[in-house]
Amino acid sequence: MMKKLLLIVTIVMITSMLLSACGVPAVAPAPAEPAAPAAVGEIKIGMISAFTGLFSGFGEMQKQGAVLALEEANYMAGGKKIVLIMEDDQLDNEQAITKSKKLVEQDKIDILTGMVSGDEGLAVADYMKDKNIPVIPMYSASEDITMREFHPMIVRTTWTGAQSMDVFGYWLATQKGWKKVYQIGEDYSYPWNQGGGFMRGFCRGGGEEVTSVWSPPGSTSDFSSMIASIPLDQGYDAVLYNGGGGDAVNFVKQFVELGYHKKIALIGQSNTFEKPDLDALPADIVGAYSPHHTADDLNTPEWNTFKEAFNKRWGRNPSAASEFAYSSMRVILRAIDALNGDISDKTALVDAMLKVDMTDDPRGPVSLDPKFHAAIGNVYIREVSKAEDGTLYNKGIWTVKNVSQFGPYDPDTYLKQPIDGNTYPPQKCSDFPPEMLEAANIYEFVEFGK
Amino acid sequence: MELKFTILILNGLTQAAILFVLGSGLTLAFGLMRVVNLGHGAFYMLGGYLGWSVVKATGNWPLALIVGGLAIALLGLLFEKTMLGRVRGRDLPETLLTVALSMIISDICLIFWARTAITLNVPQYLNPPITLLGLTYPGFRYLMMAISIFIAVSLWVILYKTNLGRAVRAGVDDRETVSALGININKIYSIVFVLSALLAGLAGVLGGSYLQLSPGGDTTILTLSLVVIIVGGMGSLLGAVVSSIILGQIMSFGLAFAPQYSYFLIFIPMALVLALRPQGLFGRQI
Repeated sequence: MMKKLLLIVTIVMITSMLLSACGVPAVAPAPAEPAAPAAVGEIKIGMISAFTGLFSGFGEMQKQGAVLALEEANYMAGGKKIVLIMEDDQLDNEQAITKSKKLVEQDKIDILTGMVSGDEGLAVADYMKDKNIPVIPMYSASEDITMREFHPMIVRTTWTGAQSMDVFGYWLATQKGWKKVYQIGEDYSYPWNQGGGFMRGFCRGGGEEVTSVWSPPGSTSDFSSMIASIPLDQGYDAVLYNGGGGDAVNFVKQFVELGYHKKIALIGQSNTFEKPDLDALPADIVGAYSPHHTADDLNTPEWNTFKEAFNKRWGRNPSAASEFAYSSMRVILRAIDALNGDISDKTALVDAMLKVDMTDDPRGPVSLDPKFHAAIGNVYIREVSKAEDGTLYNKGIWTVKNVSQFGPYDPDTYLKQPIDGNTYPPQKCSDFPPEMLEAANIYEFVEFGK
Repeated sequence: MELKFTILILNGLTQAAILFVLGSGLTLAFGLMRVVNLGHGAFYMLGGYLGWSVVKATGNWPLALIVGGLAIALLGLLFEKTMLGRVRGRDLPETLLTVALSMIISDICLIFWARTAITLNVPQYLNPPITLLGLTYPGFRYLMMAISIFIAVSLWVILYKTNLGRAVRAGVDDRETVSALGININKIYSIVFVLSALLAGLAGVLGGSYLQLSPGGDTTILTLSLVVIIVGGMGSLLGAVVSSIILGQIMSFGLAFAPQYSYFLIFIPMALVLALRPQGLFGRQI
């Protein structure tokens, strides 16, 4: 019996290794002659994404956005053919590095992009540090990729976790007058960064406390015990669910099933109510707030054109993840165009990316910070609403323009603070360093659509 | 505070319900056939996805439960008859075959179903908020507990009150003698494997309604079911009941009081059992 048991355990381990090594085939179009060096007049872009696992929804949306941008350009830029090679890392950091290594060493890619989750982005950015290949993280939002771990080959045309959440926290504290929020979060870098941004904004705006509870992502599917532990009698204004993907679906569903939506307000981080997972959520959450750099009812010519094209190609509405991928891929293509296809000098390629005009970006005008190569753009405060056909969507209510990854803070002061984690920032606003609370407000809340 | 503990216990029981339906099927197949079906998680997932499609097409949840369960049972039958039966008694080929099956199923799920988290819609009449002793709790969770108690009782009746069950139990103890006595052990193997697949399919529909289904979710489910049968003792029905209740409560209370460590907590009983009583709480030394 013992022998049998050991055999099983061994086999399970081998299986899990095999499973992760083989990955899931046929996710992407087959790479063109993987081992061969790039043909003359061909530029290879590698894209790593989590097409399976907890955040598969974001990975899929990201892929669709990137492919749309390439198809609009006919897979051509600067007179050269663009080849996209996609790899699934199953949301596993080691896999992300293995796959990056494969793309760099075997496929000899010229540019690396993709990355859905925060940890994944940090791992890949670290591996790519000395490879002299531009890295363009798409949805991965850990701020340190473009802050403390920044290296000159990185260009992030999208966001950081804290960027939208600082605005959100500040808005809730100043406009809603909320004082205490109970946060339940996934325990890894991206939600820490989102929570950190939220807590800074909330405290700066006059909030008192953000009590935080963390659990590892994907480890549980039943949050009802965490929900039952929310202290309803201690004057909290809202529960912030700081997680996304499959976890958010479970959490929100159970929150409603246990009747908590009638007892306390529910708010989300940027991903909690994002499409496509929003489609799996109950309509009882209508009215829940969250911030992001897109809103489903943006009504600008740029967004409408993008939305229509996306719908035509993929048969559904775009989400932030697809917009980010579309916009990142467009920056890459435009930079190659600007260089007339000569990308032998990678530093020149990065410079060209930074100079790309992003004022026509679907989500609103974006500019890039020349020092940290990070995006400055609009943040929208959104509210879950019900469309005429009964589906849920994120309706914009307020816009704040030109938000940088440092928010209203002086970059040097900001970088002196510890990295956001599950114990920093402090839960009580009174324990915050005064220099963070005193930063002058630069956010101007404009009614959405104005 | 008291109310909170009641909710925690109920949550633990809900978890236990799903763990039991998963674990009992696996433990049954293992006890008799000595084959650990590593495709159990994939069976669960496929059952859930099929159920999802049925709910989407017809809106009929009970039908989804039946279709999900029966379809997987049929798949189990085909797999047992055409493949597993050929390598009977050889541990490694048997186990590797189930691994291959699980990979094929997960890829098929990726092709046919959304790559995002999906969840089966339970109709309102099956999920009314039920207030008992001043506590409102989702009705569907009570229903799940009831279904799993029903399954436990049915399994007990089958195993202890029917000729088939006697043959199965005898087979667990000594399969050579059983076949020497003129009982068609191959037929019994097929029946037990189909039963085990049926339970995995049912668990998939239940789990997909109470939680969600997402690509790659099969490995998590497989891990949990293995923990259930290792703690309970492989081949023991009572073991599956007790260990799923223990693990369900650990998951529930762990999430309430130490959420950061909740995932590791469920492996503690497994480590303890492996160290102190390797045959499992109710497993027999063989």
